[in-house]
Order: sequence, then structure tokens, then C-alpha cells
Amino acid sequence: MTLLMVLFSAITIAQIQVSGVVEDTDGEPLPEAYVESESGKTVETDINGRYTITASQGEELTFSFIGMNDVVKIVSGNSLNVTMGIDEGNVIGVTTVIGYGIKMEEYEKAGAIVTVDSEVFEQTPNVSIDQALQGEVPGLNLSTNGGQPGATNTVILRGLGTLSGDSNPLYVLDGVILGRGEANAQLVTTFNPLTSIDPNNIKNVTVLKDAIATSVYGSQGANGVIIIETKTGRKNQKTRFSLKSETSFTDIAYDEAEVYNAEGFVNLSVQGLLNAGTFSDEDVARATASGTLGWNGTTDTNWEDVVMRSKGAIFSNNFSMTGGSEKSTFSANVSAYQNKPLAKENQFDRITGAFRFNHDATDKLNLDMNTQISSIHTETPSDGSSFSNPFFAKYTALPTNPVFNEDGSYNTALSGILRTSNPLGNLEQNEVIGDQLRLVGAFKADYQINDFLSFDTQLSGDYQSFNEKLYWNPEFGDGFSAGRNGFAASGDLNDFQWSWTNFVRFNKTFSEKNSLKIDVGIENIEQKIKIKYLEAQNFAGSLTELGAAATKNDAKTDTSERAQVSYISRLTYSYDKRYVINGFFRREGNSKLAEKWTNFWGVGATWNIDNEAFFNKEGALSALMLRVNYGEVGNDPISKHVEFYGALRTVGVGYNYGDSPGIAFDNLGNDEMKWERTKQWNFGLDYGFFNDRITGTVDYYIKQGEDLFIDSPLNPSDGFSNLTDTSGNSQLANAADIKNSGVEVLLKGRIFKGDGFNWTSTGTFSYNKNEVTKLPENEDIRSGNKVLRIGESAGVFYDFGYAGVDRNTGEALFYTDGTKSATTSDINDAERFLHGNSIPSYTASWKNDFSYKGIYLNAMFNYVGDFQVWDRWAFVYDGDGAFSTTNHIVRDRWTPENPDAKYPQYVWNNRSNSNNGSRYIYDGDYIRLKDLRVGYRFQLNALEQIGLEALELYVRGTNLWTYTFDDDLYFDPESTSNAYSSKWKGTGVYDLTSPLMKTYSFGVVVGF
Amino acid sequence: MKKIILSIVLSGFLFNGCSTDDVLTKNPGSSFSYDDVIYTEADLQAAVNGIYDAMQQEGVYGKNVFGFGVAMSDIGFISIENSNRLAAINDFSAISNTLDVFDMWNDLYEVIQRSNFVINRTQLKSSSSVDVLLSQAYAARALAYFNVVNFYGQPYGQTPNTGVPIDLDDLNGPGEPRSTVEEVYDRVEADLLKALTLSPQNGNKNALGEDAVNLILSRLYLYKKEYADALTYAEKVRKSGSYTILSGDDYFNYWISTEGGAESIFELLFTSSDQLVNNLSLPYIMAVDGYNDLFARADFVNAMDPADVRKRFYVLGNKPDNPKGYNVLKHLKYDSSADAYLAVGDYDMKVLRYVEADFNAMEAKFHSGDEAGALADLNAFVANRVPGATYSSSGDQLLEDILTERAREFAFEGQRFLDLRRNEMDIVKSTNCTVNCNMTYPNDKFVLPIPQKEVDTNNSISEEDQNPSY
Repeated sequence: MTLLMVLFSAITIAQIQVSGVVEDTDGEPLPEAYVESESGKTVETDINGRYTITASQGEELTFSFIGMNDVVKIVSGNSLNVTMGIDEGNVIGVTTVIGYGIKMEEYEKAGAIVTVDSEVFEQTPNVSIDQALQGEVPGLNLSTNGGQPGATNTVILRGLGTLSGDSNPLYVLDGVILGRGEANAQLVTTFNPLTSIDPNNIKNVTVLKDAIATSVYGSQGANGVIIIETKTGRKNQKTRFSLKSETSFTDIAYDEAEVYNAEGFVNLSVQGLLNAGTFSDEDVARATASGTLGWNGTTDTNWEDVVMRSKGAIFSNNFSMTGGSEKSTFSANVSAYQNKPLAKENQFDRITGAFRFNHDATDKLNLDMNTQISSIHTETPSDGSSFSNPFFAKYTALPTNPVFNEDGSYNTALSGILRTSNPLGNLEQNEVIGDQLRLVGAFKADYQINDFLSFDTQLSGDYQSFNEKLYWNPEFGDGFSAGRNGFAASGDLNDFQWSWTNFVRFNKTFSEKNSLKIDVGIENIEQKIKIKYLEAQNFAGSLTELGAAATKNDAKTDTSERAQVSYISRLTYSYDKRYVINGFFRREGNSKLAEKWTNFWGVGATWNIDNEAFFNKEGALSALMLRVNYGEVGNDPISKHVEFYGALRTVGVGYNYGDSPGIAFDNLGNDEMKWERTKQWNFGLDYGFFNDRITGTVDYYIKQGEDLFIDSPLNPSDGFSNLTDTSGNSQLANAADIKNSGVEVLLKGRIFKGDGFNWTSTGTFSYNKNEVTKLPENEDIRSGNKVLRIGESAGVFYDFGYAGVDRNTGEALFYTDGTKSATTSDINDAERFLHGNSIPSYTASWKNDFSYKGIYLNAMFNYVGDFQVWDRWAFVYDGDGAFSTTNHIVRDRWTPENPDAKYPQYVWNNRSNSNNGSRYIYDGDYIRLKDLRVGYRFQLNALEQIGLEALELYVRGTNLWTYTFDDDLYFDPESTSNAYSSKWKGTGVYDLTSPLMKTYSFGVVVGF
Repeated sequence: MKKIILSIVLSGFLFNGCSTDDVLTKNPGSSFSYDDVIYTEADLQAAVNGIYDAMQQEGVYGKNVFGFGVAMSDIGFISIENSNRLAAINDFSAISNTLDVFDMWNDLYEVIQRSNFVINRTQLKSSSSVDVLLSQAYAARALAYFNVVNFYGQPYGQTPNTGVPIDLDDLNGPGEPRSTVEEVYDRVEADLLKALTLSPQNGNKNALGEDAVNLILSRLYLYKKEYADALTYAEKVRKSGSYTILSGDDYFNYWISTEGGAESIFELLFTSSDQLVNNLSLPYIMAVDGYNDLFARADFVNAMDPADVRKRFYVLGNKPDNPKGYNVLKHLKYDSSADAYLAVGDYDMKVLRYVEADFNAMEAKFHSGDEAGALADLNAFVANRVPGATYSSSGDQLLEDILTERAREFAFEGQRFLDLRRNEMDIVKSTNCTVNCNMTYPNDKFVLPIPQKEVDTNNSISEEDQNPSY
């Protein structure tokens, strides 16, 4: 070792003094900018932006300044001036950490990787980071469970690659694996664990898309990986403080559904009763309709207004500090976020704290510790067809009924299906509450054994405690019915996951041009989830705690465990920064599978054409890199704890009779359950034109998913009950293949630069073709109006084809089959056929950033195209009277006088089955102004006088404008990933979830 | 220092590396391995409880078996103001993907699978305490098949005679084809006779026992028109001596406030811990405080003698029907504090009652030519319900009187539709009906469609095997 140190110092190149000025793009000097050399020396610039540092020729200097992109320059000579710009979102061409401490230099980039910088996340009114990523990363497609704060999202990278479990990518926070954003909520409608991360604290997010890029994450990363780095201080940096505050107002972004008012609905009902033949006399029909609908002739209640606040509101405050001494750096961050959404009584509160500390114990030993703690309190409505769903109330509650009785009490004698279930009363007197406490922490030690060999060990943990409570009051609604006399349930979930990772790393350059990096490691992950669930009814008075209930209905606990062990190896060899070869091999074992162990591997090559002697960087084409790789990785689609033991043939408990315990054989198991395997080719091209004024990437990929888990439906006559899958009985098997292929393009141009005015324009585009290539016995698998069929996209709609209205009778017509050559009014004579994708083929975004002397304007448009969306509940409120006591969407309906109407005749208790088929499937394509922000950053010299380092004011709007291509579409096509199933069955399905919000925000940032 | 580092490196790798197969073996905390059951009597009892749990579902005795039997008949109807429960069934407009149609099929086959599990997996030697439990599994399977074939198969003895799949395996398979109705009836008969050989229990009214099996056998033979056997098994029940026919207030209270009462042979137990999912249950659809959807027809109620104790079960409803229907108090529980009849969810459902043996005997005697015996039985029975009433009819009128009394006695207990169908009668809804009001026998709509999910997944059943008109 001593000998090596001698050798090391012998090859050290003579050091020189380097000095220069750091300025912003307006030519203003930047004081207290931070300069760091590769060998670890650090200085700050003075009031005039000047610095002097000792460095070697050829060494890299990194310049950083709060709110701006880091700039890396190579020392050549004694003078080095630098211009720093504002963060511009997607960054192409910087050093990237791809996980487990493995760094990739720009020229080593082997896979498809996109890095998004902090500006995108800071002060976003979005609750969670996954929402903020949409439009920033080509090939990333997000749909949401709605505007309820804390709702789960479905993020799909490069097309749907799995048919069971979550398709979401893996999220990693400062080296701690957070999972895929899967919700394990029992009572709360939807809960996204990613909301425990404060977006303000993020330094950057790196999205890894192909096999080489995700290789170190193995099976957990098969759907892609999203790596989140939080902010940290720098050595020898004076402690800086930053305060950010934002207030937002929210409203529904897109909702075109209009329902009848009281008079309109009574008139419709009269017509319906006459059409049904129940009555022939209009006066009698009118009296009956008024009586049935409880109309006094004057009441006209707008129930949507009743259950909604006039505006939602979001308050976000963040305080952070960063700093460092000679041997240590730290950052600390506290923030509070409160969201009061449109639905009355609903709320989402979050308090987070984060602390990060890094210390050089010796020259060779570095210690790093980071912790995040978050506390969330959320009050949510029910969704779907629940009477407690405030967004269903506009249909179920009739405009003919008043909200209150004359004495001011809730009207609990509602007509129609609600009866005592007053929607406003439900919101005000019932509760659905979730409280989460989450602790994420990691401790890492890094020991530099010699100049080419190092060892590091990391112990990380993620603890979540989630407490949920549901309460229905005894006076009316669900808590009153059936003599319940009040009802409550309480759920507790404790989820602890820990991992221990050990790596030995080799990194050496031979004879200047050959560089070799080898990482060999092992990782052990264990997770234990404990559940507690209690249910009781028959309450004393208005108390809501379960102790006040006389009848205990249910009490249970359960424990689920999983473990995964991985042996990891990775190699990068590069020659002269021109040719790079990457390879990985890993062996993984997983407790959830029957065949636990398997091997995965991949290889990739990169050619930095622009580093060749023949390449002229001063020409029109200023940068060019080619990347090719192939890899096979596993996927473990089982993400919900209740499915941890799906491979085992088991007999379940809880099938009790009276008060005696009962068991039933309910899980067939599968002793051949093995890893899903994803085989992926990626061909990539990175380019720059005109001295990198225009830069971009193009990637083409072929991603073949093999041995995919598929819920193979069982014959109902096999008699299995499957409590976890609402759509019927099924058995998991590795029996399907899916192919995704597509193109992703990122193009960024600094269109105008200098003289104080800057304009940067960024566009992304992606196309993905999804195709099912293998199924069990290659037969269709159906679920509701979805089908999996060989040669078609996964989750394509499959239903009766609606063919409009018979102009003579007013009946709905259906095509007899997919040829659309004949129609019938009897649905028993019609066949189902395909009605289009439920997952978009195209996504695109266009982002423009303008700045002039501190004033800036950012705008981003999003386009999502070629997909269909379906309203799961329209058959109730757009069903021509099949549910005649729910309010209906106002439609152009057939009458003898209006024979060319688009919609059938309204019939009270319509039994024509007209409320079936493709009529509720719409074209989902849309363009949305996702983000618009205007702000002003005060000039530095003005701030000095008041002792501030930074001051910024801005206004911001999200989802301000939406254009849909289908004129008939009345609900938000982005709100179509579904709580009832995140699998292919749920894509494109609208489930009456809280609508997506448009927000108007006002913010201030103060640095001192 | 170097040694310390080396030992950390090594321990890190060694800890991770050792005994990974143990690390990767995880077992669930709240389910048994299939191979570890059924080895004890406690297991067996729990598995039999699992069968009754399946019967509690809304597809079986929680709603559909009773609800379909009345909604498809001439004695009850769904109000024009309704929550859409049973509405398509009421109108004979169900299609193959109607949810109710799937639920009943699926839930009945769950009863069958859980029975198969008990019958096939029991690893215990025969003993009286083991046999008494096995007997219940055979009886439950028979009762479930009898219901499936009667609702989804053609009427017995008709052409075509396509029935339903018979699956006696507790595992999954490619799917069984539709057996003939005769084959399914044979299966039901064989299971019931087997149950009788396994020392069936007597005395526990919440479990299927000897009297229940005899009663189902007598019903089976009645449906098969094998009247001598129908009479034989009816008489076995009548001679058991364990039951009393109630009258007056006793009979009324038997329904609205008594569990395990004198007339019950089999009641499906419901307690607060396994109560019906309220808004899916039959009582909730009937109760005024529930959906208030399912009513008795005015002409059915009005035809009853004012002295008929059963007339007390019908209370004029408040829905805008023309004419108004009557709320039904059967299956509801009287709450004295609220003075109301409620769908409470933890009140037993009465599935098999003693007096059915009387009615099965009457019909069997009538069809065997013993009209005098049938008339005597009818009058003996009616005296309990309608003080002072007697019948003196004969011939077809006597049969009609027997069936009318049967309709009144078992109204809203799931029998009327099947009674009409097995007697090859028309179903005429003279009021409170907009579509399919005059349904003549035979009629394609008297057979439910095979659920679309079964057609889609069962390799042995294709669209061509679907029942006619669906």
C-alpha cells in the first residue's frame, strides 16, 4: 500500500494556479459560486465572481451555483472563465449515476438514460414527483387516478411490459429502493407512497430505460428505474438558507358532462314513463314522475356545487439549508404541504424533514448518512359507484331533492337509489382518514483501498406505518342501513424493508487510453409487512372510535414476508474515450417464485464518433455518439403483499360459518412459477449541431417480454373463489409474451442566446407499438370489455359495436359483427369486436423557456395520442333510462319528432340493453398546456443591499388548457388509470375518480 | 487497518452469501399448505364450515336462489322505481353477461368446489364423527347441483335436455362439457343417497342433516315426476317427529323474530361476524328501509283470505307502482325499539322447512291417483294457516289449489318459478309488467343463459352450446 502511494504521487502531474470569472448568461458576476476540482479542492468566487484554485492540467473543474446548472470544464492553461445558465430541465451529456454508486461518464453512456434537473420539481403544485415527470422524458406515459391529492399514478415506460402487477418503474431515493409506488391501502381510496417525498428537495431525477442502464437493479428495474438524488451541501461552503413559499388555487381541468336540472329531469322521466307504456295519460305520468323523484315543483339542487368547494387550495412551504466544512457536507430540509381539494372535507397534509451528512473520516474512508422522515394526513372520498363518492353524487342525487330539510337537518329521504345516503351528509359526517409515517434512511461507508480498488457497504431501510380509518355515522347512509347503527373499520399496515449491499470496485486507466471499471457486489433485501384490521358497528352516540362500538364484526392480523438475493457484476471498458464496451451478469433469487434462481446478462457498445480524429467538432455536426446494446433482465411483477405467496397451493382461512372458523381451498398455486424475462435491444444516437446549439437523442428499441405472468381465467364452474381479483377467478402462470417496439426522440435547441435574451425549446416524441405475441393456448383472454388477443395491443377494447339509433323506433342498434355490414336491435344477435387501444401509442411534448434579464417564461404542451378511453359507469347515467332514478347526461335523444337523434329513446326502466357496447368508448387523444410559469429573479447587485442572495417571484399554472379530439368526450382522458386494477384491465378506464385539477399558483423564493 | 477492512469485506459477502435457500423460503402466516389438510376432525369441520360460508353468498341463499324464484314468477315484481337489483331477471331480459346470472352460477359452483374439496381431500378414517361431516358435504353438493341445473338447464324430461357441467374435482381443469339434465339429476340423487349412508346428523338446524336430505330427495323425485319415491321420502320427513306446524301468532313470530324455530329443517346461520353484504342481500332489496324494490303483487295478496295468517307478511308499499305492490316481511327481523322490520344481516335465512314435506306428499298423492289423500293433507295443512278454511276440489282444480297454497306458503322462498316450470305452466304477469308479461310454456327464457365468462374460458363449452335465444 505504501508502495502504491509512492507510485501514485510519482505520477501526479505538476499543479498550477487557475483563475477566472464566473458570470450568468446576462453577464452579471456570480459571487459565492462554488468551484470544485477533481482532486477535491474547493473555493468560492468573490463578490466580483472571481476565483483562484490550484489544479492540474487536464483536471476537471465543476462550477455550481444555486438554481443553475452545474458546469464542468477541463483545465488547460491558467485562465478559465465560465458562464452559467438556469436549469433547463432535461440534461444531455453529464456524468450520470446509474445506481449502486456506479458512475457513467458522458462518453461511457451505454443505455437510454434521461436526466431531469431540479427546476422541474421545485415548487411544483404536484403532490408527487411522478406527476412532474410527464412530458420531460420521451417514452414515459403517465395516467392518474385523478385529482385527489395523493392519488396513485400509472407510469409506463416504453409500453406495457407486464400483464400482472404494477407496470410502474422502480423508484430509488438516494440509493434506497422505494418500490414502484404500489398502494397497499385497505380503506383509503388511493394512496401513492411516492407522495412522502418532497419534490422541492430533489436535485435531479435520472430515468433509466433499457437493459444496460437498469442492469444494476436487475429484476426490480425491468419496467425502468427512476433515480432521485436529493440536494446536498458542498465542502467549504458557507451555510446557505433558502425559503420557498407557494399558494395555489385549483379547479377541475376538464369536465364537459352536463346533467339535467329538476324540471328537465322530470320532463325526461314523464317521457320515459310514457315510452315504457307504464302510463298512457301524460298527467298521470307527470304526477308519478314528480312523486317518484320527490319534486315539489320548485326545488332545483345542483348537487355538484353542494359537495364541492368553490375552489381547491394548495399551500406549500419549504425551508432548506446546505453547507460544508473541509471534511464534511450537510443539507437539511423541512417542508409543509397542504392540499384542500375540491371535494368538501377532503384534505392532504404533509410534513417532511430530510437530513444528509457526508464526512471524510480519513483520506480513504468516507461516511455518508441520509434520512428522510415524512408524516402525511389524508382525508379522501370513496370512488367508483360508492354512494359516498362525491363525484358520483351529481348523478345519484336528484336535482328534485333539497339538500336540507326545513329544520336545517340533512334530507335523508332522498328519492332514487340514495335513500338516506345524503352526499353532503356523507362528506361531513363520515370519515375516511389515512395517516402515514415514513422513515427512509441509508448509511454508507466507502473505503478506498488503493488508487484503483475500493470497497463500499450500504445498509438502508424503509419503514412505513400506515393507519387508516373509516367511519359511517349511525344517523343516515351506509352506517344507518340494515340496523348497523354506525359502522367503523380501522386498518394498520407496518412495512419494513431493509437491504444490505456490498461492492468491491476496480477502476484503473492503463497506458492513458485504456480504462477499465469492474464492480462486483452482492445485495440482500428483506421485507416484512404486518397488517391489522378491525371492524365494528352499533355505536354509542356520535363517538367515532371503535371502542364505542358494541358489536365487533372483524378482527385480523397478518404478516407477509419476502426476500431477494442478488449477485451483481458489471464491467465497463473504454479505449481512448472513443470505444466503450459495457457488460453485466447477475444471478438473482426471489422468495416469491417457485423456481427461485436465474441468471441475467447484457452487453453494449458505444462509439463516440466525435472523439475520432476525423471528426470536426467545429463543423455543423458538433457531437455524435452511437450506442447499441442488448440485455436480458428479469421482472418480478408481484408487488402487492397479498400476492407474495401466489406460487404456493394453499387453503385459506376466514371462510367462517356463524362464529365457527372455516377454511376453503382458494389458491391453486403454481409450482412452475418463475421469473418474467425481458429481452431488450436498444439502438441509440446522441447528436449535437452548431457547437451543440442543437442537441438531442434518438433511440429505437425492441423489448420482448417473455414468460409473463398472466391471470389465466379459471372456468367459473371450477368453483374457485378469488378474493383479491374482482373480475373473477384466475390463476397466475408464466404464459404470455408481449412485444414493445418504438422510437423515442429528444430534441433541444438553444434558439436564441446572449444579449440578455435566451430562448430554449425542447421537444420530445415517442411512438410505441405494443403487441401480444403469446397467450395460454393462444386463445383470447377477456376481462369485462377488454381482451388480450394475439397480434393486438394489450388491453384493447372488445365490446358490442354501437351503431346508432333506429330512426323509426328510437331503439339502439348494434352491429351484428366487426364487418359493420348489418345492424340489430337485439343485443343477443350481436357479436363483440375490437374498438381500439387503451394505451397511447404516441406521446409528445414541447417546452419553451424564455428569459430576459431575470424575467422568465416557461411553457410546456403535452400531446398523447392514439388511444381510447371508456367510462365504466356511463351505463348508469347515460343509459337511456335503464337506471331511471339516477340523473342522466343531457343528450340529443330520439323522439318521433326528432328521428335523426344521436341517442336512443329514453324509456323508464329501459330493458332494451341499449346501455351496452362501444357507445361509452371515446377517442382519448388530447393536447394539454401542462405547465406555464412566468417569474422574475431579482438582479444580484440589487439584492446585496438588502442582504439576500436570491429573490424570485412567479406565477404558475398547470393544466390550464385542454383540447380533446373527440367532441363527445366529457371526462378527463388523463384520469383513466384505475384504482380497481392497475393491470391491463384498468388502462383507459374512467372510474368516477376525482377529476384532474388545473392550478393557479403564486410563489416566492428567498435565498440568504 | 488493512485487516479490519478485509474482515469487513469478507463478512459482508459471507453473511449475504450463506444459506440463501433458507432466506428465500417464506411461508404465509394465514393460510395452510394444501398438502397439510384435511388430517384432523377440526380441519374437516372448518372445511365443512367453508361450504356453508359459500352458501351465504348473494349468488346462493343471500339473494339469488330465493330472489330469482320470485322475480321470475307471477307473485312478485321489482318496482318501477328501483336500484336495478334483479331488474333484468324480473323482466326476463337477462343476457349472458348480466352480473346476477354470473353470480348465481359462480357462487353455486363455489359451494360445489368446497364440497369437492371436503369429499376428495379428507384423509381421515371413517368414524361416526367424520361421516356426519362428510354427509353434509354430499348433501350440500347435491343441493347446489339441483339449483344450478334447474336454473341453467332445460326442464327435466324435455328435449333438448342440455344440463350443466359436472365437475367433481376440487382442482381446476380445461372445463367440463354440459351434461344432460338427467345426468345431473342422477348425480344429485347419488350424492343424496350417499349422504344418507354416512350417519347424517339430526338436531342441528344450521347444518344439513337426515331430514334435510330426505326433503331434498322428495323434491328431486317430484321434479322427476317419480311420485312414489317423492311420497316415500316426504313421509320419512313427516314421520321424523321433530317438528311442529305453527299457527296464528306463533307462525308469524316464527318468521320475524325466531331463529331455529319449530318448522325449520335447515336455516343458514348468519351472525354479526359473517353477515350478508347488506346492499347485495335479498332482505335489503325487500325492506322498506333498504332498497324497497321487491314487492308482492296486489292480486296475489288480495286473493288470500283475511283470516290467513300469511297475509300478515304483506304490507301495502309506498312506491309509485300501479297498482301498488306489497312489502314482504319474510326474511326480515322485527326490531321492537324501532317498531320496524329490518334487513339486519345477522338473521338466519330459512332454507328448508318441514311443511314442504306435506306439499310434496300432496302433489305426489295427487299424481299417483290418491286425490282423497291429497285433499285430506291439504285441508289438514290449511287449517293451521287459515282458521276454518277447507277445500273440497278435485281433478285439475285440486292440483291448482295445491299449487296456489304452495305459492302462498313458500312465497319469496325461491320455489314459485320452478313449481310453475316443472308443472309446464305459463307465467302470466297481469299487472306491474312492461315486457315479457305473457310467457307460455315451453319458453327459452325459462332457462337462464350460461354466463359469458364460462363460455369464454371453458374449452368444452362454446357459443354453439349456449342456451337457445341467448
